[in-house]
Amino acid sequence: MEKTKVMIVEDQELQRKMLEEILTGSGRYEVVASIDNADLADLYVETKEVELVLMDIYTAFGADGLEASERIKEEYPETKIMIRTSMPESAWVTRARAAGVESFCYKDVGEAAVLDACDRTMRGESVYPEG
Amino acid sequence: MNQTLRIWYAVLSAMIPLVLSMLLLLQAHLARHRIGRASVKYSIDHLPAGLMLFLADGRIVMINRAMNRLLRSLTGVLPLNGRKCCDQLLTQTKVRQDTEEETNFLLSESGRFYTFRLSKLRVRDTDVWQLTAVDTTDLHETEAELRVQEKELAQAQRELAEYSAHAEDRARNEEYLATKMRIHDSLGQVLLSTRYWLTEQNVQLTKQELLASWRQVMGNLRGENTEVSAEAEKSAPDLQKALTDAAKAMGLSLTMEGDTKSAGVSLSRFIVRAARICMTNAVRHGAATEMTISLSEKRDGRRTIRFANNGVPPRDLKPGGGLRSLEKRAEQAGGSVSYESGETFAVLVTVQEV
Repeated sequence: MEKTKVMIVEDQELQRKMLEEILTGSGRYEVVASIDNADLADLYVETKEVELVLMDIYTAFGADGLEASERIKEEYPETKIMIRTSMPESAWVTRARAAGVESFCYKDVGEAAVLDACDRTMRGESVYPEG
Repeated sequence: MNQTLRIWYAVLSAMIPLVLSMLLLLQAHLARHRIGRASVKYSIDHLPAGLMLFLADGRIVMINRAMNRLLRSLTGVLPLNGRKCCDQLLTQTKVRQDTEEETNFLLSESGRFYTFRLSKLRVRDTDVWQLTAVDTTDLHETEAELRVQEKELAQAQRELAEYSAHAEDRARNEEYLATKMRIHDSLGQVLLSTRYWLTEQNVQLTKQELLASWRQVMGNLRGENTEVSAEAEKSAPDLQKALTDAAKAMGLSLTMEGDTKSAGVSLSRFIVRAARICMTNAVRHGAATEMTISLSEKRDGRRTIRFANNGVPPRDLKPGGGLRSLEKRAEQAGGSVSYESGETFAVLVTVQEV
């Protein structure tokens, strides 16, 4: 079965490594890029043919994951994006929806929940917090 | 005797026409170089501007070739009455200015613009009307361009005023958000790390490292920390690595010059954003395989970043969306963008470093 090409955008090294292990270990995902700066994300989307982006909001040097997501959805609408954040700001949820971001999750979830959100996003579902 | 007379007759017959011709030629030559009615008319006829003089009842005293041609084209008839011609022209014009001494108006003919001036002269106790026509197409086009530029300048001034009015608020909000994000992020990170440490087996993180992270976060919350901790420094983003890896993903070999570690967060972010645009353009439009990013020393609070590549230089540089947004960002950072185009193409960005 062909694996889904994933890019992780996360400035915390430990978080990045955790996600790499979770996704690679599932056997369904191939991590083609793992970077700490959202401003460079769209370069990788084009060159690595990324299908799913796990995007943090606050990344290296203050690069804004929401802004990067808006740019990616505009240029590469087929690429799916799942925002991951530890901050429950409702304004960000609204902005993510407006940009066409497929899913929005909080970071305080376990391995199974991360994989479930990724699987559902790739199946075409939109996973957003309730309320 | 008869023969002699015949010879004289023949000579005189030949000479008289010759002499007469020479006299006529001499007269014409002298006339051309003597100021008289003919020479004045000749000069007036060859003026580039149109000129017509007419009396109060419209009788034309003098009209030159340029005015004759112009009036025939604008009125559709031969100019026979100066007054009637002027009245007809004045009904056609949409731009007119009247003063006590004269009337100025604008008309176009065959794609050119002519400024007409109608004024009254007093010549030997007789009122004579003078109509002149001058081709002012170039002036008119320059004025139109100036008007467009004035509008653009006014718009830019309005945008600048609006930006300045809210700059302080914007800076404060950005700082507030950045601080909030840093605290939330570090707190979120340490909470997740703690849960991971508690629930997973064979975790590399030690209890001491975890406690150090908690102390750091609590220090942040209390506003005590001013220095970057060793842990934070170790995990500080590496500008050079981030750009080198991104360039490699695009098939570019990147060389970085200058002390990038000395660049603050704002400047580093600016460099990343500018590099993204320049790398994309270099690969897409220039088929570049190498890029050099050079960061200058800080001089008078300013830094220059040069992005040079080995791609095909653009023949006619017309900044697209990416470079235009870079120009705007540079201006917002108190700087500017310029371009070098020769054997290699380079983008130079100068910014104010806070």
